[in-house]
Amino acid sequence: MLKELAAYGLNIAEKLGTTYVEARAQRTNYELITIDNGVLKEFSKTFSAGLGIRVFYNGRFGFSSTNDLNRESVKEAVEKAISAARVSRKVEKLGERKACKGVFKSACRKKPEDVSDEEKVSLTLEANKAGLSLEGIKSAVTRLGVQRDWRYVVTSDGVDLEYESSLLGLGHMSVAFEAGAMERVGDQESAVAGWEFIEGKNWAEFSLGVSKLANEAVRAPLPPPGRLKAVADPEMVGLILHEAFGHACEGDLVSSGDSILSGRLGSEIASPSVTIVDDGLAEGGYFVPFDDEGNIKRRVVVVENGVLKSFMTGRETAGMLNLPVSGNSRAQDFTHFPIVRQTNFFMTPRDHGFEEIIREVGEGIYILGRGATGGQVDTASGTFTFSAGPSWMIREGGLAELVRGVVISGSILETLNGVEAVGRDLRITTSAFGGCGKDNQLARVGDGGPHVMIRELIVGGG
Amino acid sequence: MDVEKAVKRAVELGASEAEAFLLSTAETSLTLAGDVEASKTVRLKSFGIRIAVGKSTAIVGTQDLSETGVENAVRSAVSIARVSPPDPRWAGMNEKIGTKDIGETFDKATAEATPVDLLPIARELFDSVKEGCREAKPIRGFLTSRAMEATYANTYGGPVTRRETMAFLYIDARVDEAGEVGTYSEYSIARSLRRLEAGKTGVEAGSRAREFVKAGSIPNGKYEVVTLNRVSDSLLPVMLSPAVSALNVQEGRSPLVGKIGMEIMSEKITIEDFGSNVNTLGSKPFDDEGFPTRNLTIVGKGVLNTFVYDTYTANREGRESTGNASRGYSTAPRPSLHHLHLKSGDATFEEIISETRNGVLVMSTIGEWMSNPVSGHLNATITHAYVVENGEIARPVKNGVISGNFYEMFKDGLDMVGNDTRQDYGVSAPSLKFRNVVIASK
Repeated sequence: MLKELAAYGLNIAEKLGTTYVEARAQRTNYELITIDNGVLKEFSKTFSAGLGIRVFYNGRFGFSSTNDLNRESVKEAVEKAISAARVSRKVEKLGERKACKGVFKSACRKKPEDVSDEEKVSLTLEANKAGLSLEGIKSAVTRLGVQRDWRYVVTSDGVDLEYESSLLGLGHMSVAFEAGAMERVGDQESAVAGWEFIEGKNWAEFSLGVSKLANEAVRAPLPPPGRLKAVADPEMVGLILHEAFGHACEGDLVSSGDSILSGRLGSEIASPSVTIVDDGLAEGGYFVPFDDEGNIKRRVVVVENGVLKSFMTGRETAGMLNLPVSGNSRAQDFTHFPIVRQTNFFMTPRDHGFEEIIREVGEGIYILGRGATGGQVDTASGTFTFSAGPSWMIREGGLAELVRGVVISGSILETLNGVEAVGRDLRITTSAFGGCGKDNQLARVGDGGPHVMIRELIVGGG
Repeated sequence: MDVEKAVKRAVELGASEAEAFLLSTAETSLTLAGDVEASKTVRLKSFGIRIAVGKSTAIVGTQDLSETGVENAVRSAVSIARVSPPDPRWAGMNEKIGTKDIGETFDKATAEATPVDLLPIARELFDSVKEGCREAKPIRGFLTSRAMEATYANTYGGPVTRRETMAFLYIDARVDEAGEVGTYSEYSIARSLRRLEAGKTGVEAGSRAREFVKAGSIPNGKYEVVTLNRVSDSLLPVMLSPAVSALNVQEGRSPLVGKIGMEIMSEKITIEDFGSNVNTLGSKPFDDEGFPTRNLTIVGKGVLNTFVYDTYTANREGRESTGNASRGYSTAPRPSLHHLHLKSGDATFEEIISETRNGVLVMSTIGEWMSNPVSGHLNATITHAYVVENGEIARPVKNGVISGNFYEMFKDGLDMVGNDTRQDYGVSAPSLKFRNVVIASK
């Protein structure tokens, strides 16, 4: 029925004088099980479905959406989109793309919906109990998240694409208590896969590991505040790249001047060992075969050997920047219009071994992503910040003591220019629990890289 | 759609208790990037049903509000609850449904605004950025008008309905001068479009952006730190809202466990939760369980007075809810502050600055949400600040991380409380001055 309504919307919009229409239908199911200190606190299922319509009218874009799934509401949405287009800026040129049709499905051997609710609860409960079993752990929350997302894009220039993806994961947070001090550590593992991903891992061991780390972290000191040489693990590299650099490469921010990389294509902006890629189908990452404008997602080499090669774009920003359409125009859901977003953004590996990197650093800090809570960037000024999980001080070329409460700050270009060694390992991760926020829209993303040595970061401590 | 009917249907299907929550939102917004980059109008209805079968509960949310959609949601909730292990602490849903009179929270013109109605405000914003500084460019922003309506009913009563409107604008301004770049962002938030201060916001963004072209860096060290009112607004809820939630206290995740009646902050600090205050953004006539709201003193002259409760956490302690349940349409209610208000002090902003010898005036931060409310460790990365020397604002600076224990900062570290309260959605606080704050920098 959704497909039929999308086609109806397309038809109506064309009759009302639009020169281009894009109708997006979406159906998403999300299940969340939360076990709090051994008790099932929440088992929720969310079903959402609706239609978003974007029109190009008199050279301007307008958007509206509805979840009243009948013809009358769709017609109203088209009219509202046209009315919205009246106030938008004139678009001089849209990036070229080819009409295409196709159906994509992410790998899923065992459908999560075929697994009983009892089994899902019992698995989450067991993981939570294991996390609580350690002395010193005062509180533990375990969550199982299961998402199924179906998206369909049909446009007046011949695009007819759909995908279905399955994303699931388990997250655990433990709070340790020791001599009046408390510390929390949270971690999660997710994959674009079926239930086989959950079956293939020992989750009790996973949450026990989180608890052990929380117990160690609560006894750990804060790092000394100031400048430090740093080694970032693949998860931290992912976070740093996504925040510190990825956002500044998004075509909308570049074209509006809200990125310090505006006008710098072709220039050397990172050390020569840095190559950065955005790929919608990277292993370990999220699943984005095409974007919400119906552009096939291309693998984009953003930085090659330190030189800024390209930006991520949708049709409008590609036109403004004279770049190819990269398929990065994504919407949180049918109630939002697409904006330029990263998909799976990562650094490609080189040749350094992990021990070799730590040895070369000598004195500094090894920052770890496990237990990190996220990051943020002010793209215009180039200032970024992120929190790391419990991390290790590096002394005399080896790992010394654990530190907690690690917050890192830096400036985009200084950090990338300060990459002194790139490891040979590569790990990309995604999450079924969160995502990246921009312009009040949340998008699932993936990120990662190898181990990386950075000349200098500002570390907040005590 | 009929929420009472959904509650009845759940009981027919075997639920011992049921509650239905219907949310409608209507939003019109412009994305600004020099000009109006994009515009949209969106209407969305979402329905949630939470049921209990004995002590086993389940929640299902749906945006398919057709008869079949709702029936499927109710059936699904009942079938999940039947197989869910019971929560031994479950003692039932809210039995006291009612509303508090908090004045008018709805503005028709804001609720019905079209993109065309928003256009003059966007123009005023753009023009005022130039007024703040002729070379300043408005590079990115938003202008949004939103209306929300929530209806609640459960086995014990209802339905009750509340509605509110909100308008929001935000602008990032940039000045390029001899290869250097200065930026600044400012925002305005109100119940209605006509109360937005577009002119003032644009002027502030434009003029500050020019000042920050010349921003230097802050040397690593300990400083007197003044948080501008809007920075106080962004720091306080991150640390306090989770810490005073009775759920986090009961589950051992709050640093305030066992501290009721104790002095946790300086006696200069009084913090209230304006659940039912008139004209406060975030106040509402009833909470997300249909329980009437109230105003609460959370911290009175430094002493921790109460935590905030929903029905579940209140039942666990055999007391009454404080009317602080908060939820999305498909999530379980949790206790949360409605509007955190830090009572203003006597000092004007100018007096605070004149009392500062070797300090940093923090104008804007990012990443404060990554602070740790469990350990009490606060951190925020400064994007815009001024060095204050001998009572005067000396020069603009950027980059640096504020780091420290939140409760130590607000107890022995607190020096002055301003009288320049700024109201944001869900929070209002004045500028504050702290002693001996660590700033990590170059």
